[in-house]
Amino acid sequence: MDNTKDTEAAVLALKKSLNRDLATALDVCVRCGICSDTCHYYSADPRLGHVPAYRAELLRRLYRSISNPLARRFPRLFGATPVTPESLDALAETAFTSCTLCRRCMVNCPMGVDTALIMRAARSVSTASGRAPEMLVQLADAAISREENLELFRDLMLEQVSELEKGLREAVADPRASIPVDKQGADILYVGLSGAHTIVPPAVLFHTVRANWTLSLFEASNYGVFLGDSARAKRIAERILHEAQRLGVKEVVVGECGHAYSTLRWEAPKWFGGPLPFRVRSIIELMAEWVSSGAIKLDPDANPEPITYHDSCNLARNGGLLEEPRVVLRAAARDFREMRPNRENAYCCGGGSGLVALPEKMELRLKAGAPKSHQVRETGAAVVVASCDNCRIQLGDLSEHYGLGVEVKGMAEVVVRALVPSRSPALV
Amino acid sequence: MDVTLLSQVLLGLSSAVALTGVAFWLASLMARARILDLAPEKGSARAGVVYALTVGMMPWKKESTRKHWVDYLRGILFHVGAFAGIIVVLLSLWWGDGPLAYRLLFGAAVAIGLVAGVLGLLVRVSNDNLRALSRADDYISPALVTAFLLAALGFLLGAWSRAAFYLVTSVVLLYLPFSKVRHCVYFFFSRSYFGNLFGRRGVMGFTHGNGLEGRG
Repeated sequence: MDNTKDTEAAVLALKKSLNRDLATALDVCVRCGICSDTCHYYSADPRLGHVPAYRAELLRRLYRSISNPLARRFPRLFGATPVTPESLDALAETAFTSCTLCRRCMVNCPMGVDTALIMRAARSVSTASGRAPEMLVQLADAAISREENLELFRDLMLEQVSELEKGLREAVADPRASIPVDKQGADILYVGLSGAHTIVPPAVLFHTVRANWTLSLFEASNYGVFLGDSARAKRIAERILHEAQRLGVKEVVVGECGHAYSTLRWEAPKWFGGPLPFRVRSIIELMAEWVSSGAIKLDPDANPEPITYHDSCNLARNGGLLEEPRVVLRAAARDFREMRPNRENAYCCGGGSGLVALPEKMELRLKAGAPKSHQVRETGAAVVVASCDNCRIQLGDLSEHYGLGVEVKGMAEVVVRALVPSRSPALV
Repeated sequence: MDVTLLSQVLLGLSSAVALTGVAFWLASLMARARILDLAPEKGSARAGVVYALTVGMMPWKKESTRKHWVDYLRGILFHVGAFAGIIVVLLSLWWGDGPLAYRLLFGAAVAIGLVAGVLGLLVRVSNDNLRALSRADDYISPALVTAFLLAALGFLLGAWSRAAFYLVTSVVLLYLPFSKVRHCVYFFFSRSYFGNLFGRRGVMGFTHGNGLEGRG
């Protein structure tokens, strides 16, 4: 893309993003700077580039230059920067590497400035002008092409699932246990991630409660969201929508993935113009329901080591899953310890919003994870439960980097370990 | 023409400019599409909005304002002073100087706001990050409002004439539509959207604590 074309594309993307919410977030900030140390980047490395208001100001300056003639005439007085290749480079670097869209600054802003919304628009502008990290673009496009070439993937996937079924049968001691795929008339469409750890433990639980379920042919991840690219994000979400409608399921259950849950639960209805024709829940909500209703019985002594829980920003602050994980962990662990602060005030682990997919940014994310490392260490826990795959990877890296000596586990894994077969119907 | 009358005319004109400007920004904002949250609620958007505009503004409800309570208090007092100053302008049109008790009460509010305004400017100048974040308007706007508070105080104490008070007020009003003072238009939208987002998702509202209790 040449310079003129990419700046034109950037301006177009910015104008397209400018809805009432974004314009409000852009115009309401008074640059009081009180957001500074609420950000994990700033807490770890207190410099100007890590002040949320400063990051947002990069987009605000472009916004003023295209929408406010007075600011264009007096740029120093009202803070405007023309849209140039240089200003777009700076915006892209900040949008993709200095903000994980965690919304901790928003929770703490007296004005309620939605900096995540601003940075998502900054990502959108950057993607439109060809400045998004190539890895994220490739991952998003690969997810889209999976549906377009489903026949190529189906056999390979079925082969992998039959391997996973062996693990399931062993875990539940039932040779007939299966992981259904493409099951017409199932009640639940479970959408996991790549990796057995997001499929086998939930499969054990579905088997235990005798759920009428089926595994999705797709992964829950949505890299279109990380790109701030609504068209790609919608296309990726649409695969699951089509599959759920084709199978006639009542409910789509998202595996332990932060952004996939908040995307499908909260964002996707905006793209499709209304509520989805099925219920969307996280596997965490189901586990909490099963524990509360007695559908599964757990023995906390099976997890005797001190366990703490990391609130994924997309599940907790952005997703509303604050108490459900705690219901589950109190039942599954003998010594559950809270990090402080927690829930909507929890620190981001530093790996969110696609950062763990960028190997060249590893050092940056390890540094940004310092506040979370401190939180983990203070609990004295031996195990950190993280219900988001990106968080799991980041927390594992943080444990190694900061010598935390903790094991990072998914919630379903901890629950399966605590299952009491004699009191869980299908395991008898 | 009488100077006071002239200043009143100027005040009227500048008020019209300010109101027209505010109406323009409001109309521009309302002309933009609103992307509605269409997912089924988990909590209550309405309760979230009420929370965000009331209890959620209390200094103890946010880590940032607990930690930086002096800055937050300074900001609150500055705004209280500014609102008191606006009331003084309005009342002065019919009430003149007003009775002593009124002058003392509003004088105190305006004086505290004035001190808060001066301190705010000093903080902005002396803090490296804030200085780097600021554009010229970030100094001019609070400086003008602080000057307005000084004029209001001068008027209440009888040291400034009504004409001088109105003149300063008019300058502030004329600059308002172009300055960051217009955040007053966006504030209620921003807090409402905040409450709508977190209330709808069941993250915040009257049933939630501040995440520091270590519940469980």
